[in-house]
Amino acid sequence: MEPPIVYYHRSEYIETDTGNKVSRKSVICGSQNIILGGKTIIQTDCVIRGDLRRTGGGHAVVVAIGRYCLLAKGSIIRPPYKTYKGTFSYYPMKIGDHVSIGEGSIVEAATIGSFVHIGKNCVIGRFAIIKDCCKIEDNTVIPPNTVVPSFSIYEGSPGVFVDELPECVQDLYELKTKDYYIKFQPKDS
Amino acid sequence: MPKEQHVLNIGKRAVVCQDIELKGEIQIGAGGPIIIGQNNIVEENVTILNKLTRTLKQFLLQILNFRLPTALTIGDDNVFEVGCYVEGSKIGSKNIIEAKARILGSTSLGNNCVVGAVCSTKEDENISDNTVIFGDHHNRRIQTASANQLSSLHTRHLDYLREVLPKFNHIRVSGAPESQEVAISRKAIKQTASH
Repeated sequence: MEPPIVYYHRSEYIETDTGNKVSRKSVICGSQNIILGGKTIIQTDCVIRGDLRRTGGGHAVVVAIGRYCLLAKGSIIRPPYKTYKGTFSYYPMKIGDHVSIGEGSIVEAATIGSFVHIGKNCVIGRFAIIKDCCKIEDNTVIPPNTVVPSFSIYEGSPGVFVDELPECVQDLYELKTKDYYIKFQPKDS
Repeated sequence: MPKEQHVLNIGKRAVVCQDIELKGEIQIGAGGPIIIGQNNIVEENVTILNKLTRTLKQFLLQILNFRLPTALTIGDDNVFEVGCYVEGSKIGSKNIIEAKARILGSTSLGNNCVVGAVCSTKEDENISDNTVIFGDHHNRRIQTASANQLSSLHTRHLDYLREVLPKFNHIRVSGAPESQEVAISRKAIKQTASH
């Protein structure tokens, strides 16, 4: 099935040199601590918390997002926190390439691999690790500290393994995210 | 008919972001229709509604021309995680309302409760102390974990936020005359509304 072309109002999005498209209506805190790999789309009402950084000095990357990612409307990315050896700190979050995060999802994972699809209204708990090539169905709750293995489909609250993905899923998700990026086009008026 | 008032009182040591939308009579610190106690953490996209007052108030306003002072009281040391929705009539202390959890109707919540992610309460119930609501079917259990450990995490989290948030966000210094503060916040509300 061929997805339709999605038009956005030209004035609503800022396009960076590396092809990232970031909505002006998104909330991005501490932008100096956020790295976008390029050709990533951040839609309206997204929240990315780059201000919640690790305690201690020095330059810190809080949120690193790879290429061809999609953060759909109203999704929230915030780094996870814990106390370790008596000190409280937020820890950096890394998101791979070709990751799509559905509308209204909340992500507090430690790591998300490449070629991951997260559905709508999901909650990914603190320090969850999602490996490469996974699918999280809509409305899933991944509890804190869960490790989601490669090529698995998770569903439910709490999220459990329901099915396996075929090996070709890497190519499928790559095509899908690239296709979405190409078809996400500006329109005047 | 009395006009809808914007009364805003923010207590000491509270950190409130600039683009926040505060409507009606809200008091962060002490006294009013939504009373938020000390040392609470309210994360992004949280809705806290005193629905009970509003519907009853509108009803009574029409008939009696009278304002009902029913307050939604929220205790101390609570955590409202991202996107949770709180109606309720009373929230105790040291509760954790996880992401996308919903407290509905005139429910009252005790102390040390945990409402799990995406769980919701019924419209009208009394949830006793130490209750944990979890899972697909909103199951209940009583928690046995030591509250001490949680409270030390909470105080450290608060210390961290009080230190870090002012570095990255626009903070209005508290201690400004109240009338001025209300004026600024009204402006902020208008600005957010016009966006």
